[in-house]
Amino acid sequence: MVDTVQPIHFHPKGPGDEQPLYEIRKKIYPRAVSGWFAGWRLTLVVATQLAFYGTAWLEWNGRQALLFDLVSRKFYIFGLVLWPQDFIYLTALLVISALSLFLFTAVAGRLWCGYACPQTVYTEIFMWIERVVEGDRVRRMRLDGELLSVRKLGLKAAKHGLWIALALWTGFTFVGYFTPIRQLAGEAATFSLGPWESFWVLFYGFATYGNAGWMREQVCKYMCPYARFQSAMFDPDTMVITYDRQRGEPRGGRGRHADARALGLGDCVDCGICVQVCPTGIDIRKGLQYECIGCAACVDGCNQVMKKMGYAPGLIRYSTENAVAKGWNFAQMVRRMLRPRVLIYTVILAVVILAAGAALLVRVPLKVDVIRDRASLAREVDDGQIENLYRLQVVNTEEIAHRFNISVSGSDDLKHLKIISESQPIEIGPVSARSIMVRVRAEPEHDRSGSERIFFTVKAADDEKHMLRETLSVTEKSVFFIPGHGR
Amino acid sequence: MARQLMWIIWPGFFMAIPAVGVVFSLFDPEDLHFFGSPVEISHMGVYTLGFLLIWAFGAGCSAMTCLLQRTPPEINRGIDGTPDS
Ligand code: SF4
Ligand code: SF4
Repeated sequence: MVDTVQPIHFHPKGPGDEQPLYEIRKKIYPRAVSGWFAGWRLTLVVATQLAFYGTAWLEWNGRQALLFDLVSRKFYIFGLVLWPQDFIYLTALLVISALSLFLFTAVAGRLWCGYACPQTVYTEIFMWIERVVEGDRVRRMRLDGELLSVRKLGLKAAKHGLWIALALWTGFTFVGYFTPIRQLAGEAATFSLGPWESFWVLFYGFATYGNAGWMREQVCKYMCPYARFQSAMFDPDTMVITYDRQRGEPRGGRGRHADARALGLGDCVDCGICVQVCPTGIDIRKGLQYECIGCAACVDGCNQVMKKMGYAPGLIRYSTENAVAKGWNFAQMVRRMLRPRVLIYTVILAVVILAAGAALLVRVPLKVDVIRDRASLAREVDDGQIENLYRLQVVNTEEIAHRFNISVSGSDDLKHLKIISESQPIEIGPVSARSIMVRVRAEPEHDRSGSERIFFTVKAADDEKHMLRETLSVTEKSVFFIPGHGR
Repeated sequence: MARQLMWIIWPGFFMAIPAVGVVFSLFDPEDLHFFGSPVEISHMGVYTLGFLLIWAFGAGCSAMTCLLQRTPPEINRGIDGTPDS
């Protein structure tokens, strides 16, 4: 595969200048950087990916611990099994994620982008592979400038081969969260993956390869909606990557032992390291830009330069607009963290988390739906009794089988209210549902027609009182219909 | 052009993810009927096709936006040869 990328020529961009997408894009060769933030980024890359690739293989109760089983429409989340009826919890999860994002963003900017976003993480891994295969920044640039040779072809093939292998593994793991991964692995080993599973493995793999290998920072710049509304979430007290203009300017080169002040210079030696390390190719010294993903690579890079020069670190640092403008120290800046916006987000977030958590704790792992059989109307049977037909959909969401008794109750106007049919108790297997036809008979007290409210109670015959909830039992209401005379 | 293509394809994809989530939490593929007869492909297939279908509609929506967003000079160019300004 021939890389058609031009060697970079540096021509400064005017502010607000956007690079066109794909074809004419200037390829960015980020320089590797080490330092405190780089260490954190690496830690998070490793942690998130261990979690992603590893969790799919964990077992719980003899089944996959985390499985969004689309075929049987059940979500297994460790000890918890969610059914489509539990949709509300997923909604709550989405609300919690969104609110956390707002909160983190208001406090410390795009932490998500810099450390946890799959786009950053995979780009980081792919760039690491690239570095191992093709060498550091200068060698990569030279390689891309070279004419095609056997060596170049070999290096490119090796890089893309590794990228594709990793991408396929990622796609496979992704699908493994929706179809049991061990079964999937067996099928993959014998090349008998189903067509849809194959489609998704390839699709997700291809997306990973394309996004992390080729598009990289362009995804953040042109495709990510989050980057676009960051200004709505930032305020002057939000911690962002900031270049301390007052301290740095006027920038300019100087000898290591020169007295900068005597030369009329600030601390920035204009070495361009901060631009070279930036994965999105911007110059943070121009101020906060939406392209900045907050990765802090420029902080690490610049701090190394400052150290070499014998200057204090932090010419580029995490800071807030207010702190830089007013020369606050760290403690003063942090004190401003607790501002109304942050407090409001925190309170709402806490309320939602507590509510969802409490709802999950007291959740009764039994669901009952009563459906009146519309096909057969209420009818009169022997000795003046009326009979109605119901279908009870009973769902046992616990991972142990239960035996249930069904009983019926109603107003005093219905005498001899009772269930006839289906030998009780009924057994329902672990995490499964059963539909039970129930015939209910009663004798109306007065000679009246109309409908009466009745209640079905489904109660486990084999369940003890639990710590957090009562015995497994659910009561659902329905109506008992009494036909008029002369029918 | 490439950027326009991205404007069309990408938002549809992004929105198709929550959309299939919602649609298939409410509807069981088991209950789906296709012109009166039950759907015979696997659940995974129904989800996939549903996703692609919703994506296609989303892309169609974005394409409309792109089309309507063009300014008169952009549209007229090509008809009377006025240079783009
Ligand atoms: S790395 Fe620091 S010293 Fe070098 S150009 Fe950037 S801000 Fe200036
Ligand atoms: S400006 Fe600095 S923090 Fe922002 S993306 Fe570039 S290197 Fe990362």
